[in-house]
Amino acid sequence: AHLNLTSQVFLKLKHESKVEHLFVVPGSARQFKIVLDFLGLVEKFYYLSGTYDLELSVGDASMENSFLRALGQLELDLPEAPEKAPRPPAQAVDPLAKFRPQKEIEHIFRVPEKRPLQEVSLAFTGLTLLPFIGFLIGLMRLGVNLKNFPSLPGPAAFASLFHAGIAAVLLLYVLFWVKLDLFTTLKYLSFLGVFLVFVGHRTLSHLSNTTAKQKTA
Amino acid sequence: SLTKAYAATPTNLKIIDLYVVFAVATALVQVVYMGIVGSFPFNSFLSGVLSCIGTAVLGVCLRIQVNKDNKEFKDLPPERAFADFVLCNLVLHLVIMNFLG
Repeated sequence: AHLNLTSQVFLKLKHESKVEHLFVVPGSARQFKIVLDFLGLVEKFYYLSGTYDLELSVGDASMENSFLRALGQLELDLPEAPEKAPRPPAQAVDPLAKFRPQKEIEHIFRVPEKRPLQEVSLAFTGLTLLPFIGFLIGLMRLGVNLKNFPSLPGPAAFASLFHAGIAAVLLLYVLFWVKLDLFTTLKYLSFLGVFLVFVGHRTLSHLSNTTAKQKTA
Repeated sequence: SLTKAYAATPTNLKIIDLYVVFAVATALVQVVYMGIVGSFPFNSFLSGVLSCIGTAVLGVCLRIQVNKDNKEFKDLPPERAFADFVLCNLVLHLVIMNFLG
């Protein structure tokens, strides 16, 4: 066969572990020749000893019948790899492998956060209430009194309702924390709020009128 | 001196001062607790401290508005200021309870 100079001729050596080496065969129009000095190529072959398949590949853009022909097999017994020899590159994995059953994954639930000892928590709950007790004691020492509480039955009722209304709202908040959701809470809060606004307005305006009268009188 | 001058302030202002001190002290206790056990439910910590600080701030606002020596709020009836105080506290505590978790 006549070969043009533009032809490409490759010699492929494939190891049993699928590591491949390609060599370009140089040549002229008449003859393509390649000499492989395996001892010098030991490092390129990654020191892999074993069976190599030999294949010859001849091809060209102008050729109609480019081919890849198996030439046979070659046993290579290469010396042992030293410590710092390069490793052969990782070979391509079977592309369908990812669709086969994979390794089983064990689910690990999130480790819960460390909580303090219950005694510490309870101790500090008590400690939090201490300032409140201090507040009450301070109030008593300041001489807090209920002298301004209205004595007439009408305003007194409103005043009591005002305090009861505030207490009810706070109770609603406690229930909200323990049990209710926000929408229910807002619904009840709107009722209590309207009530409280009405009652509070009555009480406080009565109070301001009495203080105004005391000032002018 | 400071203690003598402070004794002269009207009682209602002293009550408000006591309230503010109480609120800040409660906040301090919570911060110390967090310093000891770590901030795990951080939203709870924030909610607790913020409720104390918020109500302290509202107390200070009430004190400013109620103080007779304050010319800026001369025409504001103290009952109106107190009503604002109550309303704002209720709204604050609703938000706090929601954030407490």
